[in-house]
Amino acid sequence: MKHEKLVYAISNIDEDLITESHTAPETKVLVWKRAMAAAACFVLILSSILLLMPGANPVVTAFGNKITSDPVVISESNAVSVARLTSKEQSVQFAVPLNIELDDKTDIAVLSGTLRVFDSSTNSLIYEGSSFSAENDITVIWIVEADKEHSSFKMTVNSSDSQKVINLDYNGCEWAINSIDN
Amino acid sequence: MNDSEIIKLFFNRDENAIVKSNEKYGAYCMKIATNIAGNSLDGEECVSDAYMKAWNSIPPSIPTHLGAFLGKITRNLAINRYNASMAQKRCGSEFALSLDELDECIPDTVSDIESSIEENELSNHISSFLRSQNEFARRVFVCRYFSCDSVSDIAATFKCSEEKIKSSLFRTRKKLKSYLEKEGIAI
Repeated sequence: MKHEKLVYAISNIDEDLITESHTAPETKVLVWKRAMAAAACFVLILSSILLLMPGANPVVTAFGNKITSDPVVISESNAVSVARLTSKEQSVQFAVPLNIELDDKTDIAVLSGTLRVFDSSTNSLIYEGSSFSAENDITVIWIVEADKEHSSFKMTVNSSDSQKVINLDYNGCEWAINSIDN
Repeated sequence: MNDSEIIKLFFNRDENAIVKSNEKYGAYCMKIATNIAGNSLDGEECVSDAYMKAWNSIPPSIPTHLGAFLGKITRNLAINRYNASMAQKRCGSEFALSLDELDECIPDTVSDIESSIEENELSNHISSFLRSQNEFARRVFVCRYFSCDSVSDIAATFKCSEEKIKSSLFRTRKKLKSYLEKEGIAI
């Protein structure tokens, strides 16, 4: 075939031409693009300032309440079912749903228990395990195995500018959840 | 890890050379192989074979552009696989489409085995021709006919319309044909 020779000849063109073709193309920067870049920088700086302000994301909510240092009590009034711990031998599974709003990459991990992570926009299950990195808003079902001796659990929620520890504790008669900013 | 460090690993017969090559150029080689072979399974085999071939040829070879060197090996292996698939009539790839386009570059001279040009010489002519083109046309041509990227992929890479890519390729093919004719090259 005639083109076969051409095909093999193209295989042997100078290597710098091949290297040039697979490096990222440089685009010409036009004046309006510079203006847009300046505007984007301004927005970036503004949003960085906003992010560094107290109360910035990630925001963790449970049962409609924002989790802060003040404990939110989990009771039948706000949860579908609440685990009751009756003896130290008999463990029960308790699932706590948390909504986490994110602005940037955030690492979520638990030492004990399991995370079932759902995409907040599609509600599809995207992860099951003990640690997860997310960039978009997620809903986490935190499932813990508790008995009277093991009734205190911790979750870490770390982003580039915020480090939170979410505490889930059973005080003998009720569950409460709060957050400590590090 | 830069290319010379990877090449050093090849020279030291350190198998990390393959690992590091794959980390840096695996996706690039896989794209070429899949574009030509027409499916990712054959593509993966071509890339594995390419690493084996690179392992056997470095040393003594010392590539100045490791990515292009691996790309060339991958491309040739994928073309061989494509030809084998064609014999069994089970291939439809981006490469097949690019072959039809390349027909347009063949000069209108009578083909004669004895007077026809050697492949290496033809490669040199194509390289010289490409150097005489502007950067955009040159890169688009190599993406299409070396890497066998689809027109839509090239348009996405260069952030322009498919029509612009098609018309650039059309013009470059036409220019290559006249260049080869002017040089008196028969294929």
